[in-house]
Amino acid sequence: MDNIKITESIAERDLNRRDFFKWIIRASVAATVFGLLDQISCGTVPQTGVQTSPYMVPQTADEKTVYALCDTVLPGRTSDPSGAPGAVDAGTMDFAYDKFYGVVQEFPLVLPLFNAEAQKQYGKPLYELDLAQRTTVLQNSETLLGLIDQIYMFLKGPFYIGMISTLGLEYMGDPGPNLGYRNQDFSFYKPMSTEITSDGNLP
Amino acid sequence: MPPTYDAVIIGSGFGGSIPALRLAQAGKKVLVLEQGRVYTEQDFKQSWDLKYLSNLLSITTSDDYATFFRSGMVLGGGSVVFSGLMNRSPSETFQFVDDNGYKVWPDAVTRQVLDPYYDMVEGMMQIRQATWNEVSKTGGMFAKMLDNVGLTCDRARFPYVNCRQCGYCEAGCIYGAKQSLMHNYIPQAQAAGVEFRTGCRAMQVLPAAAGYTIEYTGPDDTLSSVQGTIVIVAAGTVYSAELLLRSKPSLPQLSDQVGQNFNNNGGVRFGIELPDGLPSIECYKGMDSAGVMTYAYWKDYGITIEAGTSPASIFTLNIHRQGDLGWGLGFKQWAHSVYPSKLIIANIMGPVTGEGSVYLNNNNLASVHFPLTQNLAQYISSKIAPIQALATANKAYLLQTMPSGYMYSIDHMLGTCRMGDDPARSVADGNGQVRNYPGLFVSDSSALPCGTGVNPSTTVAANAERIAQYIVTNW
Repeated sequence: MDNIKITESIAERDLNRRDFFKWIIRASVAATVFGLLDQISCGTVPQTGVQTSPYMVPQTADEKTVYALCDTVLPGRTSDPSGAPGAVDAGTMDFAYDKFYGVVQEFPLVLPLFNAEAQKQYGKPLYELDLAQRTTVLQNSETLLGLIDQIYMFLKGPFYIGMISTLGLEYMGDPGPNLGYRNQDFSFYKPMSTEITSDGNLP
Repeated sequence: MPPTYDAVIIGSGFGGSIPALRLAQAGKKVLVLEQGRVYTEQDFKQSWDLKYLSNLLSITTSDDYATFFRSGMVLGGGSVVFSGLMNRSPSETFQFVDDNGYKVWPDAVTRQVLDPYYDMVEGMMQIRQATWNEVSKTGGMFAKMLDNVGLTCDRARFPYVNCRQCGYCEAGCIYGAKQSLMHNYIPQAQAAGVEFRTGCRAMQVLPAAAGYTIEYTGPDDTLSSVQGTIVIVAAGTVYSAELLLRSKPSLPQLSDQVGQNFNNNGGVRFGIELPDGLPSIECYKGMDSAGVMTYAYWKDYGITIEAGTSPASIFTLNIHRQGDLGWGLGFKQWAHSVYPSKLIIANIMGPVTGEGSVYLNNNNLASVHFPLTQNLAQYISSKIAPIQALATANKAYLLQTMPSGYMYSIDHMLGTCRMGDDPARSVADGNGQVRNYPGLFVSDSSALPCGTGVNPSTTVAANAERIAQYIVTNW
């Protein structure tokens, strides 16, 4: 049973599209107000054909919405005032459309929800909004639909795991694969710790 | 007539490979069926990519999709992908009485009874207490936080030889430092004549004239069968229950407790954001476990806590400050500000009443029901309270780590085929023998009736040694 794919596993476990949809919009606690909205009013999705990274460039409306979603969950260089990289810079679009992970097949179910909320709030699709507006849309979508954290887990993955590029790891200061820290002195605060067992086991 | 063995064992993790070796040493002809494939140090990668990990792990969600569970699906099972922390369960664990007033462990299983088997496991796997020089900065800082409020913290125990502290234990140790079953029980079992068949998924257990027939699918998906005088089910908490539930039509006297009492070892994961002004803990360095464990809360709260090192991938989980979002620009900036200098992730463990269950879905495959019941919510709330106090006393910040404000440990699954003294409330007797079916045993994590108070693998292994000895003596 080598190479068990997540998508196959989901299908095998009797999760049909409707189930997965329910998974994605599972009821969760209402989002609380995020105090930084005033600081993040910049950046919109690149226009078609504007290459900002070596990864997939959105062409269709759906792809632009996915791009906007990624760039809201972890804003990238064109959206973050500091210019720090984000999801799209780390190749999340390539990940999102990788059939192995199975996210792509659910986009037709979830993207209209974001765009409907964007239209309701601002009269535009999600991908035509700036970061502050997109953030508000996602917050409201979360409130309305209980947008669950799993989809954010997926979209944050390429950046923090480094599965497409190491850009996110470099930004975070995680060296990723390494030869170990054998010569590191790990005896940190050793004199400050008191032990109650003789060998690490309680009786 | 299918091929016949003295013993057929389903699963090659702690619950399977240990009896395999002991039965073979006693002269029995043994076959082990393992659903996963063989991985060696050359095959492992330092990667948290699901595309890679899905070759080593089975990843399951609860039926409300709120919780992910993972279990080893590779030759050697969980021993290949666990963090390596291997402490013995405290004595009080075996006296645990659940919320229904039931003492869940059989009287025959106590710490004193298990100690000789713990000794065997520790000898085989070269388990030892970490030195202070192996305790990571994360572990040292966690110990200091406890010390600041007058609490203790001990060095934990590990099966490591020449560990390089690279922080990828749970992705498979590329250096061969972690002494998984691939380094001891499995090669010794092979040398003793045990046949391991990988890529084989057990589908059903049926009664036979002498023992049981196992139907299984092989790597090419063809259905085959073998027969064993003894059959040991050790496919892990989810899949052992799945197999027995699927076998119920042919084994109608199986307990209705099969699949019930599912619990996660009382796991509650939390994060601590350290205050400004401390030296960086470089939290990606070290073993996956930070090398320490505190028993300071055991007496009053019935919990222990292990601290862990943290790769940046931890931020894919919903870890964030209370009231903030787990995504967005503010989240990204916050994550960058605390990593890798100020973040400690830790896990609470303790005996807890198993209120979850494993059942068969429409495809005859396991689904996990693991609701946040009132009891469980109360458990989480009561156990996190002293941690909040610890954080506050250290001017640190307790972080919310999961959807809906909680985080269940995604490993450490126990209890679905539990042993016990009460036939009405247990699947197997105190020797792991399934009630009403002589010669059919469970010997893995599913047989443990409740949380072990610490990481459960050592107790799973010691219990498997104990059950193996019972089989060798009595069969």
